Amino acid sequence: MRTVLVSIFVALLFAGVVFLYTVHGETTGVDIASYYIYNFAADTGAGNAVAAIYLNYRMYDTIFEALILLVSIIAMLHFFRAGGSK
Amino acid sequence: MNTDSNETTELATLEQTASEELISVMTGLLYPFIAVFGIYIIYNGHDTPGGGFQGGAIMAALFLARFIVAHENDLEVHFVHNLEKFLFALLLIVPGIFVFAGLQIQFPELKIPYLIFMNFLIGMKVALGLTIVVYRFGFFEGR
Repeated sequence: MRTVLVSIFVALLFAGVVFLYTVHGETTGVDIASYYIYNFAADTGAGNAVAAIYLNYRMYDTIFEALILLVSIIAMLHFFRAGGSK
Repeated sequence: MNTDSNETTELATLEQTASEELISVMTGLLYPFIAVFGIYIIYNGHDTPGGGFQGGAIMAALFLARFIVAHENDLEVHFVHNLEKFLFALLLIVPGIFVFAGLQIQFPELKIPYLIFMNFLIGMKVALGLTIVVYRFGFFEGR
């Protein structure tokens, strides 16, 4: 019963995420892109626009990306108990 | 690695040992090049293509090469894991002070050291994480 409920919940969550992704009409336009391209060197001091974006403009993205790696390793150490784990 | 080697013939065992030794020695020769290349990618990540994630994956290849060469499970998984958690805490604190609190406007000369330091943090974190994954799968799950 619990498995069925969890399955339904996960399926609904997936459908909701897909629905939100398809129906939202937000666009950032070209203003923000041209702002990044012309001002990233003065704003962040980087010579590489990708580094300027992922270490300064979009810092939350990098933090949660690192968190995903940490959480996946915690999950792996927790669930894979095979062998002589300490 | 191969536990049923007693069933094979002696000649095959000899050939296998020789090829394993060849791979071990040649992979061992690659250690310094992998390390230098990874550090180069991380250190120049703010100016050239590359960065913390890419350089960290290359540094994890160093430990993967060591896994191929040594076959010793002497990695202190929990110590490495705690070190990774500490690096993640630094990864939260440093941009919190420098970017979100607006310190970069007051000290613009610290922008490039900030980028290099953050790339090193991310690189070490990714390298340690992938090393834990490789060692855990290689020694416990891959049989």
